[in-house]
Amino acid sequence: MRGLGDCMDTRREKVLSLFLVIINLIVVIKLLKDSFRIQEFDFGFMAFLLIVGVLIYLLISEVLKEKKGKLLFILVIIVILGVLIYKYFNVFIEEVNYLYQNILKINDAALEGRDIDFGVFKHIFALIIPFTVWVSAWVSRKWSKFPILFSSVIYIGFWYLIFYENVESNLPWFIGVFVVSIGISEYIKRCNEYEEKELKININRKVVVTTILILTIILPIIVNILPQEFNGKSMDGILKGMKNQFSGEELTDADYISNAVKYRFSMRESGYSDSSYSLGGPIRINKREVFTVKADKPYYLRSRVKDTYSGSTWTAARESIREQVDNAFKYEGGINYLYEALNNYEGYMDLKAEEKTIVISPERNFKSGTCFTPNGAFKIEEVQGKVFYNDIPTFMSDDYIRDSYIVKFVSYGNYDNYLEGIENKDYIKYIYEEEYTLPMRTYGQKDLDYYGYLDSLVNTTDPDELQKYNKFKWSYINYMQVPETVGEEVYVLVENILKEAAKERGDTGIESLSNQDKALAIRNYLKSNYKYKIDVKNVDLEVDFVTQFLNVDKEGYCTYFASANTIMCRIAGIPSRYVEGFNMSDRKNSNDEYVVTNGEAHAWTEILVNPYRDIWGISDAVADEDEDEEVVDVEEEIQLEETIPNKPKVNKPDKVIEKVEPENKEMSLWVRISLILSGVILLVMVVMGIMLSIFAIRRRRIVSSKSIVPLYNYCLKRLSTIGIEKKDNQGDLEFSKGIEVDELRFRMVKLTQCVYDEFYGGIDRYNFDREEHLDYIENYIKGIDKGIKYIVKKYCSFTIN
Amino acid sequence: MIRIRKSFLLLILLSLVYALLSGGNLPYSIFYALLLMLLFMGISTYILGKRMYVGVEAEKYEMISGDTNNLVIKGCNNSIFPVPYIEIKNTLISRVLPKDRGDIISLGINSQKIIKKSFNINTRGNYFLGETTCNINDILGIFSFKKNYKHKKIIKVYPKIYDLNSVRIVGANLKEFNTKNIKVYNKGPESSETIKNIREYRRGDSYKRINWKVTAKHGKLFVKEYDSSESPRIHVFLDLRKSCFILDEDGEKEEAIVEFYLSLVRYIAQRNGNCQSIIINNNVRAIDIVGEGSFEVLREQMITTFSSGSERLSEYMKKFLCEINKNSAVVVVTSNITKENLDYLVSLKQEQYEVNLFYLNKTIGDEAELIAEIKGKGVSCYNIEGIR
Repeated sequence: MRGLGDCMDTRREKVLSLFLVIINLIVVIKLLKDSFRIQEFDFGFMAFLLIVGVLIYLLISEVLKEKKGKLLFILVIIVILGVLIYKYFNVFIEEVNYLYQNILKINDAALEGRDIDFGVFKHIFALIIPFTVWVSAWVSRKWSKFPILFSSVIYIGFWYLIFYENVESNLPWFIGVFVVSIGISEYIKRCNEYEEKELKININRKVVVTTILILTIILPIIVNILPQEFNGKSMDGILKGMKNQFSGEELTDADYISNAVKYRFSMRESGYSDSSYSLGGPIRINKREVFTVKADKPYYLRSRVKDTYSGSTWTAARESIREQVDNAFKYEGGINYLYEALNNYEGYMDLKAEEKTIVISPERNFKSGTCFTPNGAFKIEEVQGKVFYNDIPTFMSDDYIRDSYIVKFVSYGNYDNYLEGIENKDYIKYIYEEEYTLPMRTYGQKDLDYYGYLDSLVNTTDPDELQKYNKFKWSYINYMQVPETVGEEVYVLVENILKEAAKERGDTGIESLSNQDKALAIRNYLKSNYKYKIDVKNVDLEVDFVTQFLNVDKEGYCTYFASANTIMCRIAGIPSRYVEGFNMSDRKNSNDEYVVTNGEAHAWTEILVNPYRDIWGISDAVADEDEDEEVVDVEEEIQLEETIPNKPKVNKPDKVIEKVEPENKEMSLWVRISLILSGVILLVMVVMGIMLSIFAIRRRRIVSSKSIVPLYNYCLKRLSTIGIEKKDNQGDLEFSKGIEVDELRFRMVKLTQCVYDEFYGGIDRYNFDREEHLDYIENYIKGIDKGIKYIVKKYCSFTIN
Repeated sequence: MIRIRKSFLLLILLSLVYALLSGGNLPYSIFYALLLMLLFMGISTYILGKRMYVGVEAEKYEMISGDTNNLVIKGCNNSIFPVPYIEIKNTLISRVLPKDRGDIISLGINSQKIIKKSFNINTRGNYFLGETTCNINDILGIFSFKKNYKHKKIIKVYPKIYDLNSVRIVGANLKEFNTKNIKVYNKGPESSETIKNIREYRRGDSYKRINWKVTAKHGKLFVKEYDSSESPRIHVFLDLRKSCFILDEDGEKEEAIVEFYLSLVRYIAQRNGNCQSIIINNNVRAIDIVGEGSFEVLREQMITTFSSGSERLSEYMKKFLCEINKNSAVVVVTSNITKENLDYLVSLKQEQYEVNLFYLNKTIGDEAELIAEIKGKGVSCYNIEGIR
């Protein structure tokens, strides 16, 4: 029964599902345009691509209706493509290369937030968009909500990339299209459902269209007005809340502290490996904004300080964590010295300590419980949860910090950046009793031996001096730890560097060098002789990280430099520690706040400057310009490659380039291939899982259905895969009676009779054992199609059709 | 009753969990969008469900079987929300038009729509307008509101009655149907001219015919016998046993027999025949047909009288025949031509009854021989098919 022209014929359904696909693709393309900052966007070209996709779909679905025709068409296309590729292999390779280069360009530009010309995307779009239109249209004929899923997945995906701001600005469009899509797919579904029920369809399309349009306009506006700036809750937070509400148990201090430790910042969140588990390895850092800082100048903001090096990790073995309490009577650890300095205690007069404040505002999507602080921070304010600090002190909260917080710290004026300041002409040595020196370590000298050696050097009986020495030893001996994994070459290298430094100063021995002289020499040596590189080799965990870096690889990023710097300083006799955090750049936003991104995540070394006042200096061995240098290198390479086609006879530069970087390319290629492979395997597994579950659901439906017809249809479909096919001109019973195999025929005739009873006689056949019948059919087919052929046919033909 | 799609509820819950865990614009926007959809659709569907009205009226409430009638379904939307999908189903429609599975309509704001359905009913009976189910679905497919309307009105479908031409009933002295006769006929049973005799009451006599004066005098019931019964009384039997209509699923044969029977009774009544109608089914009833009024009663009764019972015809008839005068005309209308029945009729004939058989037999087979045989034995047989 069909209505007066309001019926939903397949053509209209096709047009509607194509419309759904296209509007969803348009919002996705808009998001791409905004996210990648595509300049001079060619709308005509994109429209052309969409039309091409639609035409391909129509060609395949309308013109080539039979399966054979489709197969033939695809085969012909593959053959033609194959011939073309074979004939113009060079062009093909160039094209692949061009695409590859473009993808790299897009990646880099996106990370750095640069504009990209539309030309870079042209070939990629030309390949992807028609294909996407075809596939989505094809899938949405089976499942009309597919385009909604497609655009939602892209939006959610981009939300978690560095493009969340663009996602935000595109949200109204997305919501609008979301509503339209649900409305239209519901219309398609309803029409199909009503037609199946043979109802007389008399739907007023004007009513449908107006209602959808009104919703499409109103919903995004209201959604936009509603408050959305809520922060997410962690699973732990929710559980904690529940624990508080329902069990009534008070959380103990230990619980709070364990939470605080759990929510601490890890370099892994910025794209680095977690130094507590492994050091180094190839990394890819995004430039996602993490927080903004209101401050007078850029600082090194530390999150964690680690003292124990194992050869492949940095850890903080002994930490005592305490809660920050207002107006405490007594402070413990490093924080005590800071309060003393502020109160101008004896011995601090010349330091000119002054209190400074910075304000840090975390970005919404940055999840961390760490309070990032400059050196000398003593108080954190305006954090909602409890604040804890350790001996260093570094600060942390027992929950993720979402809102701005104030960091109060002690500044020693010109003394802020101790080693950096040395290079400034204004630098004046203010520090009281700065000159303490410890002897160098020698290779083979274990930690305990060295500490014993230090003890033996003390030859005083003055109880004050002894107390001072013991205090020093208890406080700072951890910062002298050097594991036995560190190779002899490192010791030799440190000795050579120091000797060289002494020679430059005109002194005879290393003993004459002050701590800052030593640290500066080591830092300068690292800075000038080692190359900054992110795309490094994988790390061999069997080999000492620092030794490998200093003697073999000679390239790496901040983790490498900071680890080496710390260990070398320790060998040189300077207590030092490994620090992780952010190194603020000069970039500011419109509110005059410094913008800190994951790109500024950093590791550096702190060396002990003044043991009596617990003053530490920053020694950063990484050169700032190194990163830019690398970018320049890449550009040069591209330029070289571009010039090659113009001079085809000159083959030499080509070969040189190939020879120069075979290792790296191969390595990264292998990494990529393995990544792609694992991705493909994962995808295949997911698809298989989905197919299996769809199969299981359908089987259950067949078995539990009131009607026996689905079972019959299933049997027909399955039997047709092994060549037992019902012809169009055959009646059902005729077909069943014509099956050659006896038992199968008997069963199918019985089933067909049940179907007839139900269909024509209205008699329900609940007692027919469907499961047994299904099993029989499956076993029968299994006997004919064996192994993979059977499985593929069973799951693919059934779930897809 | 309002119903929500469970998958949507699940989706909204998932989006809420996602928004709570993740935070930020996108997750909250998705959650809000879904929530607003839920709210808008929920409110509008609820109000629509309350404010919508579906009415069903028939064009004629009395009709004769085989006639065409129209059913008018009116959907009214008295709310400020448009309804995109309303599924309307009526039980009467699905009974009389099995191919019609219902209608889908849309209604704009404050508007109404009329659906007219034309149908034939071929079987007599009382037809309730039944129940109308109206299922409202919102544009996004989240809610549905199911509403039932019960209609108490009845369409009465009378059996068709047609004119019979010159049917001869053996043993009956029927006058020609003319205006003079109508006059006499219209005078009614009380007219003294027409009273011929007074006799004792016999089972099956109408109470209307009791002569109360004589009854009071004798202390026994006496009834009047009219002039028309100069001709012997005619007893018209209708064989409505279920067993006759086993193969008659649509009721077509039963309907044809009932129609013929009523036509025959009217034919006899119009010709001033003294006639008693006896319908044989589970609940055997006899009515004296005297005048137009009693015929109407019979016609009305036939609407709700359907075939039932499976005893033998002879069993039923014997109970009546013991009180019937020999020589009176016995008319049997049946579709069940069996040897047993026919033999019984022959035996009646032999008992001096004037037996007339009207049979409905569409197929020509062995029955023809049987009929020919009993015709030879003096039973008058007529095929209904031939008379209609």
